[in-house]
Amino acid sequence: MAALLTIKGLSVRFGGLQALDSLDLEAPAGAITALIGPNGAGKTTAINCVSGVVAPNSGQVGFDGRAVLGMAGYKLARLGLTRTFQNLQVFGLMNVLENVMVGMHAASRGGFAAAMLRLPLLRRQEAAIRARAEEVLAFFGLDKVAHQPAEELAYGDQKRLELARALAGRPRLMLLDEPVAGLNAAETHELGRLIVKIKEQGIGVVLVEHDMGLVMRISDQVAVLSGGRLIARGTPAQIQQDPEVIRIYLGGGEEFGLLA
Amino acid sequence: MTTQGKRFFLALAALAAVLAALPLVVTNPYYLNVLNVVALNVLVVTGLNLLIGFAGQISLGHAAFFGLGAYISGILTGTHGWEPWTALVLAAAVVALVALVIGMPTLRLEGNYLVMATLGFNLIVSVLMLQLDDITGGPSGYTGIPPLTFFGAPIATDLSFYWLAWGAVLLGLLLARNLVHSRVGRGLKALHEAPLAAAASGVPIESYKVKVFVVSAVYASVAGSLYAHYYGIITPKTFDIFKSVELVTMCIVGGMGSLWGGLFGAALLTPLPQLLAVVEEYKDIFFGGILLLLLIFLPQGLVGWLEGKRVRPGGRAF
Repeated sequence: MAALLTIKGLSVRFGGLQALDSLDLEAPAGAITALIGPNGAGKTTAINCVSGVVAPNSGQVGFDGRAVLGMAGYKLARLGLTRTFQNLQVFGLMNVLENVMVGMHAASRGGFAAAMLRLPLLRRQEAAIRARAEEVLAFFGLDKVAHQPAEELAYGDQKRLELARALAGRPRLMLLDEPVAGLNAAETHELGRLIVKIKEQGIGVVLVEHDMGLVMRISDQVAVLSGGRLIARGTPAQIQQDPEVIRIYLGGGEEFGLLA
Repeated sequence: MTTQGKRFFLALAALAAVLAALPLVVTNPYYLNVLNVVALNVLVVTGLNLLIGFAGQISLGHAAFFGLGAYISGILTGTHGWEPWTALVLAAAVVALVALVIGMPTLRLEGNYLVMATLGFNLIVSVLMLQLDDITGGPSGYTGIPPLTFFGAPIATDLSFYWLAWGAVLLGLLLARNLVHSRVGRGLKALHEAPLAAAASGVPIESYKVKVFVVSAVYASVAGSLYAHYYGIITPKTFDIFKSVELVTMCIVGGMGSLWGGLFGAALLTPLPQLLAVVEEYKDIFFGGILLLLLIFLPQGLVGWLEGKRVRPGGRAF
């Protein structure tokens, strides 16, 4: 598996806190790479660096062989790198369908002048955007609420909407920041199934998640962060037996489902 | 076409029909004049609504763009003998450039620095109009602006200008509507609601903010040019910061983020100072007061309120 995403020596310091300490990580296409670790381990910081939200102090990020560190978020989206957010970032006053249509932004063309004149190219494209958005909504089981304002959706539906928006533009890599946080067991199971289906489309998935049951069930490889450092990497089976990981999670082992 | 699209075109056709019928009823030139001023305000407010209502950026300098359009058109045709339509286009281009220069540095910053920048800009433009009296005619204004022409015939009467101004409004509404219901329009709404997620979806936030600001300034400039050729005389007072506040109030009264709202806001507030002498005298207080009351009690505006639109509790009014 050739790596789609390559992170080398990524370090971030927030004031006196070393949030990330020389992190190396690779994520291939068509696989789920989980990033786990206790709160404050630097998982979200890593995702934020890759997606251009946080500027690291040093390090390199390569996407499909291209250096992308410092690139604006919208340009990354055009290259096929999208993400979801731990704290919901849906467009609350827009309806669900429009939310997903925004997700097609990177995959569509046409600026202000073309839009105001409603050129034929744009009209055709608009139909394609809508069709794709409806397809993605159906995939996530959100088609019935397509015309509701996003803010009126139940929490679990809003979480799925974030994924739908990130998937709409046919990305090559998706960074998912705690996609099942706050969901019940049934919802978590269902979303896990959908994430596997996304992977099976050949899309690379980087999954930051606290739900160890889910991580161990669906991930192809797991990277464990602690205190900003990568302390272990391997298959779910290897990680569950790694003495260092067990030590870090000691006491929390059962809670995290590591020993289950 | 979507139902939404059909509804818009039905409404636009209804508006066109009403506008076509109005001159049959309204023959008094005074009232026609009021309707013409309403049209020009609607044009500016439609552009302003794209900026405020959709992209969530506030400008307190749109009277300056309105004024620049008027003065550039006026001076080019009056002093330099340019053809009015050519002058209108050049004025719009110059205003677009000015908006670009103001917007690029300020819209990159987080927070509403645009308000301060545009406010300062409007003050500067007002001072220039007053002080450069060799060119602008100073406080007493610039006179001798020729009317626009239509295939050689001057658009000099209130009625002929009525057709021109409201035609421009219909065109302006149509272009704005197309923008709103496009990928760009969705991008503008998205960057207002959740900038991080918009960027992650591929919306170039800074560039969109600057471009929508430029577009809205061009709307104001075109309205200003039309104004200059309609009246033939322009004075600095017409384009001061109080006019900017007035425009923002019209935008908010009707309902931000609703193109029809802009129409209603302008149609409702434009005639008031002209029809009620009391309002005329305390115009600036009147508009300031309305703005204040609306933001407290009806932040979604009249059209938003009629449509049952809510504003999120604790959410941003803009």
